[in-house]
Amino acid sequence: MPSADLSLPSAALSRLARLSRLMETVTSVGIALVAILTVAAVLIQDWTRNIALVKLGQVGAVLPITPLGQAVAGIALAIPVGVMIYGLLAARRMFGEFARGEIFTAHAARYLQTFAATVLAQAPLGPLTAAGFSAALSLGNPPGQRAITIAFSINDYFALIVGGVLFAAATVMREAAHLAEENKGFV
Amino acid sequence: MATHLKRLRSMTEPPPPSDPFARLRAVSRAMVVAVTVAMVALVALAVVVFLLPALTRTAFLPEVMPFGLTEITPRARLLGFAVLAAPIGLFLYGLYEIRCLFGQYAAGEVLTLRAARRLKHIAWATIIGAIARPLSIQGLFLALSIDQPNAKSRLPAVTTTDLTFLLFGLLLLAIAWAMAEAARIAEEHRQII
Repeated sequence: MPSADLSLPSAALSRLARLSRLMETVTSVGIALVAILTVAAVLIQDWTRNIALVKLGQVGAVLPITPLGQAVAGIALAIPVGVMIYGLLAARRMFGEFARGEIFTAHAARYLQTFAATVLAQAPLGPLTAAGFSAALSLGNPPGQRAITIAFSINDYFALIVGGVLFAAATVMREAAHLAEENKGFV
Repeated sequence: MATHLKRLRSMTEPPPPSDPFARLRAVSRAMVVAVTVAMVALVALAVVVFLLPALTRTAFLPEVMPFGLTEITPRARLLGFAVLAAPIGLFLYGLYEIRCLFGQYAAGEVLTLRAARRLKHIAWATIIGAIARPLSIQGLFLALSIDQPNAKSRLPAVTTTDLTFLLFGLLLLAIAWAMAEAARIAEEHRQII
């Protein structure tokens, strides 16, 4: 009678292990780049202006860039970036599990679910960060001319969709992990 | 053994009422509707925005004004639409694949090769989209500024958003690959059963 084991054949497993090790490195580089670029973006005036333009459009072109505004804008930006880095760290751990041959495990599924949740969270965080960013930069304006701008981007919607797909994949993986665990116990 | 085989079947066939994917199926049904609405809205928005000059200005205000553009001529609008047609098409294709994937999940077809293949297509669409996005933005600027040769783009060529979406796509591709391997084994078992 055939076993209902979901463990992968050794050739597929070693291919996946190689890919996962590569993805671990890619994710680590990605985390470092996102962190470094974000810090640089709030330290270098021109880059802060670029973020303001991307996030706020025309409003971002006229908002003053002051040291105080940059510091507060940095805090506003740190929230979504921090959430994203937390998610990427979970994805990195998931690939670490994959590289060790632990594919359908509860741990790997939970890491993927964490990553999916952080991607989903980027959708509401997008407009909120834009609002925080505009409020921070408008601190450089005299009282009475300060304002908060809410801006929606197609990226927010995209994060919602990609996050939804990842979450569904995590649910499938969690059930596959349960099944693999049951089969392991049975064997 | 029978219980284990039954659970394995539940991942590849239309499931019984108390299947472990009940919640996934319910959420997937809602996602099919949401993605369909998004696809229709995207097409409608793209057409309306480029047909009505006032809307072109409003819709592209965040992207266009930092470019330094003050006026968008009908020729520029038409060119802008042509430039955006490719990324919009790619976006629609990605959404279509996502809609099909959720449709399969809603029908109880979860750990199958077909579902894994769709996941791979979605991953590739995300990767290509992340690479194409900065090019599209620059292309849009060139198209919209065709009658203003002195206009200069003030937007950065590449943003951390592009980098993040590229990473999402690569992660999705690796996950899809693992899913495909697992689905292959599950389907082999199913055929033996």
